[in-house]
Amino acid sequence: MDALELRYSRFRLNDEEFYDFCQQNSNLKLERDADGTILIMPNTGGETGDRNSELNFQLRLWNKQHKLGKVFDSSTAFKLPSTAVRSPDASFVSQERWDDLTPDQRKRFPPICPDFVIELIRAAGRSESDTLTGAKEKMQEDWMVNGCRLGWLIDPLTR
Amino acid sequence: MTYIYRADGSIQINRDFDQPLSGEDVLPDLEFDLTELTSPFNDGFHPRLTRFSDYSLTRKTCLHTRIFIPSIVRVVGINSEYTALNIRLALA
Repeated sequence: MDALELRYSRFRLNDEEFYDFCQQNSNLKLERDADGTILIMPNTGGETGDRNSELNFQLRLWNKQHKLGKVFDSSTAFKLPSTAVRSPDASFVSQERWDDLTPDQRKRFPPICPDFVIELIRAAGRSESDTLTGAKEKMQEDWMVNGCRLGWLIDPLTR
Repeated sequence: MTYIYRADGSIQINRDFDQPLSGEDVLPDLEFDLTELTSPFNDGFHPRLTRFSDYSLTRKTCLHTRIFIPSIVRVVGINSEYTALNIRLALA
C-alpha cells in the first residue's frame, strides 16, 4: 500500500481529536494504525475508482432487495477493536449490529468491524508483490482479527 | 484472482473470474459478478492483456465494449497483440 505515514511520538490523537483532524483535512483520505501512526492514503486512479464503484453498486443492489443492513463505500472509516481506523473499499454491517450503535457513533467513525469487507488491489503503486503482500496483511490483521465474518481480496489483474 | 477470508481462519483462493462469488451466510443470495471488474476493456486496453496470447472473452464483455456480436455466433477466444485484436467466433 502506498501511503504517507505521519508519526509524532510526544502525543497521540484520541478518537475525538483524530475525527476532528480528519474533518479539518477533509481533502485528505486518512487512516490510523493501532499504534497511532496516521496514514495519508493516495487517491485512486480512474480504473480503480471505476471498479470501486462497481463493488458498491452490486453490494447496494443486493441490499436494496434484501434489506439486511448497511452498505458503505471506500470513504467510510471504521474504528476497530484494535483502535486502528480503517476504510475498506466496500463493506457491509448487519442491521442488528448497526442498530446497537448510538446516533453519535453512527455519525462519526463507527466503532465496529464490518461483517463483510472487500479490498481491491490497486492497479498503480509499488511492485505487484509488495501491493499484494500489504493487502493480505491488511485483510488478515485489520479485518479478520477484529471480527469480520467474510472478506474478499480481489486482484482483478491476475488470474 | 480472489482471496476469500472466512471467520474460521480459512483462506480460499479463487482463480475463476467467470463464476460469481457467493455471499455465503453473511450476505445470503448475493452472487457477485466479477466479470465487470476484470474486463480488459473496462478502461481501454489493459496492459496485462499483452501478456496473454489467448484471452477469454464473454459476450457480456463484448457488449460492455460495444462490440456487436450477433446472437447466432458465440465468442470462443481472442488474440491480442499490442496493436491488433482478433476475436474468434463460432456458430452458437
